[in-house]
Amino acid sequence: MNILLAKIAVFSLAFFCCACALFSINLAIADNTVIPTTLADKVSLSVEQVEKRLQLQQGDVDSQQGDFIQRKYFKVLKKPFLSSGNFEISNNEFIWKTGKPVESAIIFNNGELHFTDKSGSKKAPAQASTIAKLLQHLIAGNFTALTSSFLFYDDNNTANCVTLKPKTSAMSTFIEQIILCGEKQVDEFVLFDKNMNRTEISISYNKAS
Amino acid sequence: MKRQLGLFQGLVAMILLVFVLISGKAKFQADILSLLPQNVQTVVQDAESHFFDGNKRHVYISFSGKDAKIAHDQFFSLSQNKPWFNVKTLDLDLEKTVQFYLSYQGYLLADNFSKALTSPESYSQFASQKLSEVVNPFVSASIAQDPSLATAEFVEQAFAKNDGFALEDGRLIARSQEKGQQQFILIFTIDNEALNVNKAITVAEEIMQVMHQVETQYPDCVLKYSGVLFHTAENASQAKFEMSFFGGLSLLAMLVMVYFVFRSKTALFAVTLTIANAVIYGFIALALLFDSVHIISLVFGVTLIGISIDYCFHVLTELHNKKTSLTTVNKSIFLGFISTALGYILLTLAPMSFLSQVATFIIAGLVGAMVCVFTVVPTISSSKPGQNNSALDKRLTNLINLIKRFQERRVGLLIAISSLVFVSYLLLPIKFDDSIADLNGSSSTLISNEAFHQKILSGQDVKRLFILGSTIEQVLQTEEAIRTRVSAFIAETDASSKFVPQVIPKVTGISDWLPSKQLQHANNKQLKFAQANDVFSSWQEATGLEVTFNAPEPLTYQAIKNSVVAPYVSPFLYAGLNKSLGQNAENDNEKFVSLLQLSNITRAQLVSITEGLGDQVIPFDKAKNISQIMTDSRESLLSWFMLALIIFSVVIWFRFGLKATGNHSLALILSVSIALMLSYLVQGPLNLFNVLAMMLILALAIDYLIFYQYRGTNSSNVLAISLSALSSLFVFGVLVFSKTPAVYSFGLTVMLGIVSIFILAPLSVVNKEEQ
Repeated sequence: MNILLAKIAVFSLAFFCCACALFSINLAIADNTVIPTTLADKVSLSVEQVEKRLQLQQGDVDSQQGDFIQRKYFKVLKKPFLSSGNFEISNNEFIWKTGKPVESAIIFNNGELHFTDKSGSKKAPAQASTIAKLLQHLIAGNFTALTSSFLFYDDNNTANCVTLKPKTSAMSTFIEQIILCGEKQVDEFVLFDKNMNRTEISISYNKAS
Repeated sequence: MKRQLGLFQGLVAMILLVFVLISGKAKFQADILSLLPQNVQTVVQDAESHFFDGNKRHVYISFSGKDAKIAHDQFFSLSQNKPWFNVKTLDLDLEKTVQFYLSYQGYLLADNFSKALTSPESYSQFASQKLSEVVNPFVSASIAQDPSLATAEFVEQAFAKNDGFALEDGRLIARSQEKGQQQFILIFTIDNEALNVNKAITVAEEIMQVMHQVETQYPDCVLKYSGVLFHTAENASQAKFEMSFFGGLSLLAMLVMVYFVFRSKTALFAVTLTIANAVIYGFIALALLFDSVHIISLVFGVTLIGISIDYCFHVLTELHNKKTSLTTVNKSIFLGFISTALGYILLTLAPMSFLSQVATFIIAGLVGAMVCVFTVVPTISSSKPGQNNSALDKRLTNLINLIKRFQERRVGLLIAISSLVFVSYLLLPIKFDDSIADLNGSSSTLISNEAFHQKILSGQDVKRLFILGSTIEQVLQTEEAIRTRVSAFIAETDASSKFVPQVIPKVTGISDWLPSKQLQHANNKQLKFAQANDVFSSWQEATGLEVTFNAPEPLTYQAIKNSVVAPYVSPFLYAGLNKSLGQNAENDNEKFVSLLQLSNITRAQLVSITEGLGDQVIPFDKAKNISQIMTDSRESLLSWFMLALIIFSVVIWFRFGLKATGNHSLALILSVSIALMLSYLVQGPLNLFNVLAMMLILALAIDYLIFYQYRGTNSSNVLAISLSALSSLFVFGVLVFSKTPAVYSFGLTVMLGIVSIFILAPLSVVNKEEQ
């Protein structure tokens, strides 16, 4: 009797563990695996440490262009919302052009930000300026510029990734955390907002850059 | 007995003076804005205070050029521990704002959202675009509760319309930038106390010191400062300097004159005592009757020295000439006091409250002077008669002879002068130009800094409108009517010419955050119509979300008032409360006023946009309004001047007959006309303060006429009048060195008026009663 009970208990425990594991895997698959980094007790990294970790070579980013694919994961949406387009970065200009599903662009030129869609060009609202600059610095891997708004931490999961945590209230209004990955150049970054919805952006560079 | 009475009043005055000084009742201020004329419409005036009083405590420092960002940070770090540095930014709590508006989904529509509701395709395109944005905190915070994205778009639009600045890493950056350079702005709030006279000077100096430190460190960065604090500090230092310098100089000149004329220390003592008594009386009256005394009032008040000393001169000359009875001179002094007091009371007809302080100071001061010369002066002066001054007597005799020669040719001279004045007015009509700037003695640097900051903070061609209504709903509907007209205007202009994005007219107001109930019901109808026509169907299918609009009731001001959005709305809505009805419900108020701001709109466009809205819309242009009030006051003062002249003429007619009335009136009119014409030639277009000076010329001129009429051209009277004129010339003449245009204009005209009446008064005397 005792043996039977013990077998049942062991079996139940094993079943419970398997069920939990399966459920976690399922959750992770459904959520496309990226989870925010826990930053408790971590020491922030310097710009040099970040650049070393990502093997970034500063000076090569004066002019870049390429394509992007953006996946937005909202908790209430069953599948991510996909959009894609291209970008251009030069000294005085940053263009982020979305081609699909709807054409639009944000153009940051000489400190002026404009937003264009099918209805034409208009001056962008103030918060868009913060986001446009952020995108520009993220893609260019300009951690010196980012250091005024973010603290940098290493990422537990991947060697080529760093986690950015806002340190100003202006930035934390929009962003909870950013995980940025790349090797020699920025390949991908994930932005978590205050509601822990996330935006994954994958970058591919044109050969000319 | 007289001496005891005089000493007793002096003792009482000293005790009162000590009391007002110790009890702290004597408070001074130099707030330049408090000098401005007040609007007669109480509700508009109260609304104006509600909207703009908070700005009085703001200090603006801008940083531009190379190193602007580092210089901004350096200023911040050097100032952050200073007691006057208090940066309060309105926290952008998007999350809470979105949550608040989610309770009203179905009643709120943004312009872009409304346009997207025309078909399922256009709506899907709109929604897809919103979701394609890299980060959109509004969508993120609301998509779960409002999948239509209507709330997200409404809140985003409200924030977008109401931010004048871009915030970059916590620094304010002006959106309009010159030559691609960024301009960083630091706005901080000082305490109310820092606007007091002495404190303002200290705080402004400390801020300038920090600025100087930053400028030394970053020489390529241009720092500019503005704010009421700096106006107050500059005007206060200027006024303090002018008050002590002008007062000191006048006093010194008069003491020298007294000593030269009377050659007696007792005369000097009598004069000093009279002035001291006058100043103490005036000061006590000011401290007791006013909450705070404006320092500009005291600059004008310097004139008390010149007028009070006149009384002493009359008594001293009588005593000097060993006259036994002072009855006639006392009577003349009293009549003179009445006319001067009436003249100063007329000043209070102008809409500037500080003129009441000037009038109080002078009238109370003259009472003090009168009490002193009636009681103490005769006793101290009679006890020690002064030495005879033969040189003076000789000059006096010459002057009297000259006056007599003039009097013999009176008719010819008066005709000649009148003709000259008449022709000069025909050839050179006087122009007037009243401006708010007359009241401001601030430096040109500060004024240009202020214009620069206004431009970068508010944009070009900013117009403000006061929207009036008996209910909030009425106010909101009027705001929306103006928005509709502006949109129509944009569409019309857009069709005819291609717009450059920066110059699109923009409207900002409380209706950005709180649409009228009428509009909210229309929005609800439009949304339900779109829902019934399957506008949201394809979006729902694509996302698996269900779009519903089930808020029970529209958004009200009552709900806003206690919400996170209140800081965006309450400062721009003034409720003129009807206390008998209470203040719980929206409609219990008599009048509501909101502030609507339109930018990139010219004055002509504004006129066409507000056409037909009548009294519900009042364009608010502080400078123009004040200049208009000053012009109106000037014109009404001219009427009062005429009335005062008529009253004086009637009194003279009863007392001295028709001929004297004609002569005196002519002398008065001529002296005022000459003063105005000469002022115009020296100063250019005249202003309200030149006209105010007319009132005082009238009051002083009446004094001279009365003295001549009563006492004729006897030596003591001529001496007293000459000394009075000289003393008045000193005190008013010295005002022409003031940097405040109002003080300059006033001083110049009074000075010229005194010269004119000094010459004309003896010509107008008939049937003189030689004493």
